[in-house]
Amino acid sequence: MIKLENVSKVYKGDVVALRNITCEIQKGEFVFLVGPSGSGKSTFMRLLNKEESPDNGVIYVAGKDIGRLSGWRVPFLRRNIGCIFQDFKLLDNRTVSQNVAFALEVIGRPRHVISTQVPAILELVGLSKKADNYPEELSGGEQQRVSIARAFVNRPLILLADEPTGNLDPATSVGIMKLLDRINKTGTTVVMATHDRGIVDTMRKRVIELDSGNLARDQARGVYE
Amino acid sequence: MNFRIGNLFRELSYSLRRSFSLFVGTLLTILISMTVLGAGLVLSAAVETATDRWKDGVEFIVFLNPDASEAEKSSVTNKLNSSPEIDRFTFVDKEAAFVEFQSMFRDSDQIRESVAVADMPPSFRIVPESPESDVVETLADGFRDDPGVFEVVAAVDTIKDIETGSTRINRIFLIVGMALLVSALLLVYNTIRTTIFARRREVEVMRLVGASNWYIRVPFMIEGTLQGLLGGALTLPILQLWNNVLSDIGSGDGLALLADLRAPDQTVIMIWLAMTALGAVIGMVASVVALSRFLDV
Repeated sequence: MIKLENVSKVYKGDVVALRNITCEIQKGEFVFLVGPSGSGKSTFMRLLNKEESPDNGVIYVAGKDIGRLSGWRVPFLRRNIGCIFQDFKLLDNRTVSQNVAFALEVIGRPRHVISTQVPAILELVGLSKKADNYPEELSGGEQQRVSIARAFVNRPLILLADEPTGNLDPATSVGIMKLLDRINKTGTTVVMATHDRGIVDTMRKRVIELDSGNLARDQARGVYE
Repeated sequence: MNFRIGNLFRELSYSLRRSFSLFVGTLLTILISMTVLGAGLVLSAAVETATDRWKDGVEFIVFLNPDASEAEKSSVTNKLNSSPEIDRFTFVDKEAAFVEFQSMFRDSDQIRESVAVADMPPSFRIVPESPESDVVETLADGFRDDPGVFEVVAAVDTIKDIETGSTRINRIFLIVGMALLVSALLLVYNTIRTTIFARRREVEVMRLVGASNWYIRVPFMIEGTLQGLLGGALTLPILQLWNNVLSDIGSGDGLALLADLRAPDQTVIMIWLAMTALGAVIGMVASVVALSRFLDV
């Protein structure tokens, strides 16, 4: 599903974000991306949905070399990749259901599809009763569920989660991880960058550790360390 | 294109609500700059209409009585031909005078319908060797008492003053209008920039969920173009009012010295259409430049 071959990324001022990374993530895998701040986790994620381009190396997503994608095709790549963030990135002026529907509207899904898929996904994330609430009326955990619903409503092949539990308390984080696990079980590949030792150690999924842009460890059923 | 018109308008309406005061401010600036430019053009058209008879060096006109005889006409023609101080002249017969009259008063049915071809005085349009007003006055006076002559009108200094004065005013209108146009362009640019900033979260989410570049860009482009289009379109009543003001200033001796100082309605409409189109182009160009600089999709 995802393949990186000798990928390097250097920012201005010779700041090395990733150095010669090679790894492969299979369809339906759940992978934790761990490492200290500045180790290259976010750059890794941003390269996958082509928010940035590598200086060297090749990245394949769903069998395609995304470096060769022309600009107008990038949105189509992103429709196959859901993204979740630590700060949720919800639109404050829209209700829960409008936030989720927004993801379908902007890619031109017909109204009847939106009206069936949005309630279904809100049911999946347990927010059916809060469909008409605004984000500010929700707890952090609920807001992250909305964000997950928005990322998953289009049934993407891949879900990228950049520290999705970073702003949540441990109990709420567990709920979010259970939800991501459920989504992963539907066949969606999940790549999650995290600092949360407890979650990584509990779930025992594959762990890719980055350190100063280098691939320090790639361990099946790994722990945080 | 994979977006629906309904969604597009909803995005646009979100955008307008967020920066409504800025939108109105920009629109007014465009309106003012387009009005100044348009007013200059209307003035120019009005002066051209009013002084139409005085172009190509014509300095004075000898009007004959509508019922002047051929002999009276020939007498004036001979006098003109024999005068060394006359460079050239043209004869405007009743029919041509009628056509000219109809054209001068094309916007006033009442005036046009009140005259017939037979009522029109034929005339000689005369270009003397020297345009000096003293010479012209003396030459003109020489025809006043000739048989069959109804009236002699000279392009005295007033006409020249109007022509040079209007050119000067026009130049000022043009310079001020262009300066305002540049400020309007920059204002649209900044409005779009501010709107992009105000909507950065939406834009970010749109990018992440795979909205096409056009889906993201089009509402901003429409917003900029709309500002220009409305700013230009709203000039119509102001330009019409300005034309009426000119008409009031210029009203006086309709047939003799000046025709009505008023641009034809059709010309005002053409100027209005041009201002509307120019406004739309300015709005679109400014928004496209702002998008290319500040919207990373």
